[in-house]
Amino acid sequence: MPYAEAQLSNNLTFFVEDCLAGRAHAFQRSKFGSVRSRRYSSHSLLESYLWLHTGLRIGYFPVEGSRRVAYEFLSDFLGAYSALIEKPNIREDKFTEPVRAVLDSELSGRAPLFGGAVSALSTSAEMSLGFQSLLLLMTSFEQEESSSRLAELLVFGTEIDWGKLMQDRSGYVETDWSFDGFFAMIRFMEAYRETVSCLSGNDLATLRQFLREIQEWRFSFREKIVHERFLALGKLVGATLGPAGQINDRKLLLEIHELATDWGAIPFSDSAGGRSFLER
Amino acid sequence: MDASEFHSPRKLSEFSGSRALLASNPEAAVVFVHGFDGDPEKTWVNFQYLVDKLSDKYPLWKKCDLFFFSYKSRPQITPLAETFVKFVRFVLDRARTSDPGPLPSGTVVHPMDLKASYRELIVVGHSTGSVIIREALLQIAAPLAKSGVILDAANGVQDDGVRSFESSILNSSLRFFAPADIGVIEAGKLGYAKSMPVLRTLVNIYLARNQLYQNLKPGGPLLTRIQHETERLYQSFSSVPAFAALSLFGSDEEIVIIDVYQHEQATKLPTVPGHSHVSICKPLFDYLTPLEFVTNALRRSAT
Repeated sequence: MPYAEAQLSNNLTFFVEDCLAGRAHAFQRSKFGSVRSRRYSSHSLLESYLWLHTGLRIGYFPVEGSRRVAYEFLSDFLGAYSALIEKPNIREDKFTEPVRAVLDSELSGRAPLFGGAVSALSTSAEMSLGFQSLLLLMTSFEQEESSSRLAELLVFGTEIDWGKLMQDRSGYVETDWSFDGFFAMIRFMEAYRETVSCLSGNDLATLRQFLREIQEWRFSFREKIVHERFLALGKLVGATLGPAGQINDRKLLLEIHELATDWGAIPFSDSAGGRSFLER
Repeated sequence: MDASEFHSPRKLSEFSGSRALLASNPEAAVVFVHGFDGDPEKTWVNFQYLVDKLSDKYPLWKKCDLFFFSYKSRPQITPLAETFVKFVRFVLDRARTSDPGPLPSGTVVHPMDLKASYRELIVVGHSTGSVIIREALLQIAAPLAKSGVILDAANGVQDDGVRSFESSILNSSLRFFAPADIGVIEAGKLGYAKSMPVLRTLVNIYLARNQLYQNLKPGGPLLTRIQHETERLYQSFSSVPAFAALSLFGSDEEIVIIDVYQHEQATKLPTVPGHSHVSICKPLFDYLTPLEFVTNALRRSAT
């Protein structure tokens, strides 16, 4: 049996309360903030549109309610989309082609809202359960201030921004919010990997892939600069926390990198640049 | 699988970061409390998935509402426990029917859930979560015991025939994963096993810097008081279920001391081979022990 009407309604209510409303609010606030925060919140809000789109397609959200929610937040969605269209290079880097195709067709008006095709997504109990698990995990990431703050800096920070965070700390033994954010991101990636491993079945492969792609902008380890920043922070964490000589830097970086391959990082075996990073 | 029997998520706005998974017709409530520097999702996400995925194998979960308490680590257990008491009261009273915030247009969507009358309450803690739960129980039970009314409270029902808040708490079943009841391993003695992933080592070192962690040293005033008061209450009122917990540890436990209270020694379970402080509470398809550990509490209450 499919979801009852009450369940669909409750699913949507949760999504709006726990995810969409907060991101829309952050987007509105970002109009008065930095370029970096505007870009982060634009991507975050568009991601929530994609979650809504996907949830509707697989029967996790109700049709009428989803439309109503889209109307309620349409000006924010379009505002976020506009913010990205103005900077096509940025958009190209952060969202994958299938994800861009959905946004471009629906938010430009070329296709009906929620009508953009995502192949092989179907309605099934298994699909909905998998979707819910990953949704719950994703919303918790964004609500943890240190992790979203770090993600914003990693992906959208300028060299100056990043340099300020990583300014010479040799001998500096205090931790700060960036360490909280680092461990929060690591915990998220570990938990995500574990959850995905439970979502077995070929019919879930497309869902897993699409949901990863709509979130990947936040980690964006496909980009060398983001990847290297995260590894550099990891190295700093090891140097600050670990007793002298007891933390194997190379092993640490390999472990971090291994997790990052779930989010686009190229395996070191395929990357000369990666190997050279380890040698530094 | 029947999606009509799945749980639906609910944000519990009154308690930042806390959430629920609600069943259609619940008979029991299971409340989960995470540990140091954890959060409800990363600690309990596998439970959240498997209770529905394996609902045919463990049908009792179809009749359970699940609640996930969230807190930010603070140096002192007492205020965390006070908030937890309020959380449980909220769970039992109105969690299912509280209204979400309005949409931008001002429209309010009312939840399509009815208030539940829970027959049973199961409380599940991981690590520091167990200490918070124990302290919360003492905050409720100690004054009742002092007034000589604890057994009456344990049998209490409201005018509508539903168990009172105190009765629900005192009759709750406690299930702990790697509880910090006896204390944490001294920071300087955390192992740096070569076989342990470096990231895991760093996480543990970072955890040990947490002020709350430092306040949970074995033999420290807080843990000693909680242990002595709980054991004393058990000796006087052994019929009250909430004074005795069942605990599960992994053989690779590296954060807390593997031991239980004196009156719980007889029911002490063997450690689970190959599992650490973090993995002990995370069920997987090939490791259903955590799920069964809590399900057994439901089975006992059902009979």
